[in-house]
Amino acid sequence: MRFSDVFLGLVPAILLSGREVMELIRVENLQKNYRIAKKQEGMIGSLKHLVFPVYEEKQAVKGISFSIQKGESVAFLGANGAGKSTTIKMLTGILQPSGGNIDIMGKDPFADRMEYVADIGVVFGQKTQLWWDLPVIESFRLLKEIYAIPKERYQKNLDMFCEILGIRGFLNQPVRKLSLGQRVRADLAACLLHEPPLLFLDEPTIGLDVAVKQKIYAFLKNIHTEKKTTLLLTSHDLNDLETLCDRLMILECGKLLFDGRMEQIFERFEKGMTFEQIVIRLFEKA
Amino acid sequence: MTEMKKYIACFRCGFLDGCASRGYFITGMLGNFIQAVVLYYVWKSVFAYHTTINGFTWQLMKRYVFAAFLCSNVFSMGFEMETAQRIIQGDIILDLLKPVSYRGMLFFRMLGSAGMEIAAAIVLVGGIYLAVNGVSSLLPVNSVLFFISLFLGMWIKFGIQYLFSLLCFYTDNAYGVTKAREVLTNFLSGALVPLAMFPGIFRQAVKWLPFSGILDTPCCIFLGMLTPREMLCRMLVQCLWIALLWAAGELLGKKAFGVISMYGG
Repeated sequence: MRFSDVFLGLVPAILLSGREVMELIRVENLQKNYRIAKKQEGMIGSLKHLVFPVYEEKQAVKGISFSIQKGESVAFLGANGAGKSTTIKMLTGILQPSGGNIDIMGKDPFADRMEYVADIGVVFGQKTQLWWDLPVIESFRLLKEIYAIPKERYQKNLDMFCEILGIRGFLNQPVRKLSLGQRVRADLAACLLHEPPLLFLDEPTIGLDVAVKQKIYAFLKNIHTEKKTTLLLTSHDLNDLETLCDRLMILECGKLLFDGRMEQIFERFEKGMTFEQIVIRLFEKA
Repeated sequence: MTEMKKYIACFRCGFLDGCASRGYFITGMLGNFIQAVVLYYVWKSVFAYHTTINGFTWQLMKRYVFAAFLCSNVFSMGFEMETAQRIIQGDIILDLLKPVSYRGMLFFRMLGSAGMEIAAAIVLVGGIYLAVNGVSSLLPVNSVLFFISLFLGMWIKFGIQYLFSLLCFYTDNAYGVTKAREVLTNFLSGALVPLAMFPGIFRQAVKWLPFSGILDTPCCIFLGMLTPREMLCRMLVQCLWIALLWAAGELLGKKAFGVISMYGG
């Protein structure tokens, strides 16, 4: 029996025992293929490809299935190219799956994109949704209208985010003048102004210093606890995952290698092993 | 109403963004203005040897050059380059994660940015126009209809730019796409040479293409070259092209968004 077989499919029932269980996300046999140019080496190879291009299909996600309950905080872990960002992008409705089904809050993310994205928040640590040349507050005002947020709720959330994330000091500064840490904090506030029940975070702490990370952890824990926001997080920083998530999903080469409670992974290995050592061992086994 | 508020907010941000990038805006305006001045003197030299060319006199051409400048200056920057960069860098996904039509958002953002362009162009070109041609050259009804037709022309130009920007989903050569669109638009709309000066059959064919609605139609209305019936007919053709380009954008846009996968996860 493979290591992954032991863990897959056990999770949701165990995870939320004692809590109201409501399925938010159901993914069945999800697949994604990319068409990649197949070039031979050197000038002749490049010229040949120019005249007779050859492509090959690369399977980035190979038929994964899982379900996530309301209020869970789930970490996606995997090496570069494991398929975690592709999976997140399919879950957010940006990428069209090559096969399988996704049902999130009763909607198909790709087919019902416009309606669906009103109920989610997405943060890509390496990208910003804020207007580069405008003060941060202008992007917030735009989002208020785009998500049709009532004035009182907008003000209440803005005040709360200013306090927890410490962004009030630079609300009137153009985004291009902000440091990376300030920009990410402003982006986090921007994607939560409309109080989405589901939040996707793709490497939200990349390149940030420890102090800013702590602020972000505190903020995410707060909205997870207070507003029961479901979190889906990908990160290479194992500390992010350990601090913020109850459940861990490990992807390797487009397949789901592990799906279980965060503590479960420690139980399966020798005592004293760190999370990092376990993850390395898992990737080696795969 | 809520839907409209979203687009008004996009318009507002576009306007603020247009004001924020002063240097970009001024150099763009200057480039177009130099082109208009060069054209003015080229035509002046040409008319030094001819009294009329295909019905155009120097008096008429003096007015055409400025009206044409105003029309071609609106939405002149295009957004193919920006769109291509957003596609290649993957930032387009941030636009698609908003519960609002991507094209609608783009249109109102562009309209907001163009607000500055139009205001500056009207002051600049209007001033020079009046200095060269005098107030008596303005036809009140035609001037009002000119601005309506100019607005319709902007919509057509946006439709064409949007279709060309979709090409960026398939090629990362945004420069080629932008150049191709610019050359086609400038030549076939009458920005370089009035369509009335094109040879017979070609002239008739070009008049029915969407490009003529960007510049030729508003300019002909402004100069009083059309009868009321012709004006109405030409403005209806503008509306028809807006609808057709909108439908084509809707159809091809859906196909293009599926191609985002090309750029990976």
